[in-house]
Amino acid sequence: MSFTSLSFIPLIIAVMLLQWVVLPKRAFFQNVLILVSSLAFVALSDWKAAILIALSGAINFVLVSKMHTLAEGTVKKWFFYFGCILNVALLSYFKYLHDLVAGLQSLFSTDTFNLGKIYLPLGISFFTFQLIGYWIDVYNEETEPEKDLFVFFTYLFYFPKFVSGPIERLQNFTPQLKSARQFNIPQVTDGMRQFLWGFFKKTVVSAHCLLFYKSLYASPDSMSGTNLLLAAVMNGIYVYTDFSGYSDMACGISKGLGIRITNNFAFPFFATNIGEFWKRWHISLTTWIMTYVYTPIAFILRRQKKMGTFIAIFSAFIIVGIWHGLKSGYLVYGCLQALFFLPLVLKGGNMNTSAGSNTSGIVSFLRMLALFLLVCITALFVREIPASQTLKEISALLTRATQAPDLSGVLGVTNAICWALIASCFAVEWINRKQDHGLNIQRLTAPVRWSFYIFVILAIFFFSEFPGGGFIYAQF
Amino acid sequence: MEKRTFILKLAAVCSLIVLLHVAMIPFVDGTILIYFHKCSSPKQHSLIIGASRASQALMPSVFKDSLGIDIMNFAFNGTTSPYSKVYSHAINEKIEDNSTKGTFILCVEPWSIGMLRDSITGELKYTEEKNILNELCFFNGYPNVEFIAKDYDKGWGNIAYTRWRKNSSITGHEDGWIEVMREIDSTDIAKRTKGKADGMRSSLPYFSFSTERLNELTQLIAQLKKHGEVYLVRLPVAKGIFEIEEELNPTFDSLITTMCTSYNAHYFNMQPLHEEMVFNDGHHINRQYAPKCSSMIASWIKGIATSEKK
Repeated sequence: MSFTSLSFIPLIIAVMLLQWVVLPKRAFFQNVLILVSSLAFVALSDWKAAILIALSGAINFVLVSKMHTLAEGTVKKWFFYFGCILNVALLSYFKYLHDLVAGLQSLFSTDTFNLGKIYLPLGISFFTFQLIGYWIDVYNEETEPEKDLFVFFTYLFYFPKFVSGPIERLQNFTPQLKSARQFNIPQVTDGMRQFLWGFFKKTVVSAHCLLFYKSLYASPDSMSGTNLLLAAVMNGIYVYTDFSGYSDMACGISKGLGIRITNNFAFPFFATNIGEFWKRWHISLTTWIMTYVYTPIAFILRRQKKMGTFIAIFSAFIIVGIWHGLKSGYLVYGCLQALFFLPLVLKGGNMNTSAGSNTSGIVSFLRMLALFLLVCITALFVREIPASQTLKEISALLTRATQAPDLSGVLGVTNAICWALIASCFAVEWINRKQDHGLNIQRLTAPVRWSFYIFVILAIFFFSEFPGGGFIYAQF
Repeated sequence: MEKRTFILKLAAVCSLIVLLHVAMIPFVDGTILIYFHKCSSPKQHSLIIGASRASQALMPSVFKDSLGIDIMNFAFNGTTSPYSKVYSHAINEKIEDNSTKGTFILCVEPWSIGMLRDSITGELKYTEEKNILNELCFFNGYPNVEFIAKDYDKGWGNIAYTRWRKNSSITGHEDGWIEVMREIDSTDIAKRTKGKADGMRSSLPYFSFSTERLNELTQLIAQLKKHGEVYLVRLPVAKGIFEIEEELNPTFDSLITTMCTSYNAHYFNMQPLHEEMVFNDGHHINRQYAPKCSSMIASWIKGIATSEKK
């Protein structure tokens, strides 16, 4: 079940009405409602994942509580390692084993160990990263273990974040479940605005970028450099609007239920350097990597100075790459992102560095544009295509730059409207770039706000596409 | 603002959006959703059954003129309507319950009683389970809103926009016939036929004859016999495509002939007539030749009816 599917509408309306109109305003009833609806959502989407996560969640709940009772020392340390390895093993089996064996077989040109296709449970990466983070936080005594299994399950299964995140830390989430949520009109209205904006980005902008990408990318072996570049840009915008559209919808629904979750995006295409970009892109994953990978490694290697910083950044981005899957393209993507940090590290910066642009408007704009193109071109590696094929395409992008482009598939009246809608998406996000989401327009007057709403609703009504296949990050 | 006022305002906006969608329903026709009329017509006494070849080649209007029967073309495409539980269920829903004198033309081909396997896992692919016929609860009645909601994959405003633009290249007629607006251009046809043949050949290693699908077909014939006469037809295809089909199932004809004998149905293999037809892509008959193909079948049925009367 996807947020854009027809079957989701009755579920969300029923949950909202039950929470705000029918049920008593007590945390217990509200939490029961959230857990039951989350279980229904997950079970209807992937019932096997629901069982697996319930089992894994219960085991982790018991083990983490047990670890917390142990005295500081070797036993506790090994217990902690065991818990982390258990979760990594689960993720590796479901997500990486098939790719690993296929990669090795292709390397040694053999098919002795054909594992077939291994079932990939919905949301497993997001769920496992949350659990590993929970183990580390409890071990480091940054949080107490959750004592209430019911609250713990609500945290794990919470349906707005289940499929594609954000990767939420337990200590940020569960306090909101401890007291009754009050109906807060500004928050609910803002949630609806954010949901509407996410819906527009997913069904109008992302859907048309995908269509344009497919049209431009029709024959990669012979197409012109311009076609390849435009296809790369369309792919980049498609990935951004699909994933951030989902995240906006997730945050919007959650606000509607009175629970705040992390905004996963903060207009990354308006960043002017790579450090700033990664602070704005998939924020919950970057934060997780910063907290649990980059910072500990940088601390251990602090005496190596710049080399230590770079190794920490490189390790962090290898994890970012692998997080997507164990394919050559994802690894290359991670390595490239780390390499882009090299100039920053040489200047004495680190993964936290994002400022440094006291430049004029035009220079900032050019930097933004250059970074945007760089990000779009490297995002070509985040596809099912092998890295070697993507490398060929990127080199063709330069060698065939003078070839005449074939844009017949992306021109015409309807396509012109769609291009305008894609541009308007960025224009609206630029206007609201200092807000927490693209349609946060509470500060504007009512007629202006309503003009925005009507524009977005009509764009969805006339030009949305629901081709099926769900959200791109659900596969990760 | 009070909670009550807020909810009322929200309900008003939602109602307006729902009304906008309702206003689009009268604009839906066979240019917007090519299978709309197949699933929005009343229950039928006679049906044309099969995949995309049948949906494009068999014109109910020709059968009405030749045989005097009202027949609905209820054929879809290879992934939606291979012989299967899903398709049989849809057919049963479409037939008038007390009908006993109907005519049922079943188009058969190796693909519609074959099964595709996943190239990696070898798992059988029941493509029909992911298609519209498996999602529908209602198959009859105009307008079938459930069908629009589940089959239309764009915003509903696009319905009016598409009608206004009038740029559809495929039309699903009210009698179920699918008309593909493609002109006869030999270079174009040769290119498309080659593309189709290449595609079919590459899928051959993963395609195999399915006893499960054959059982579904035999059960369907037995079921349809209760409602009238059953005629099986193998529509012609271009030579190159036929050769691939022979590789897929060399005993196809004898298999169908034997089955028809046991169920007292009739079988017409039209492949020897392939040179009399023009195909869009080697296996879909061009719209200009659909009347000819339909009329050949109608004559064959007429011949059987006349000989049975004697």
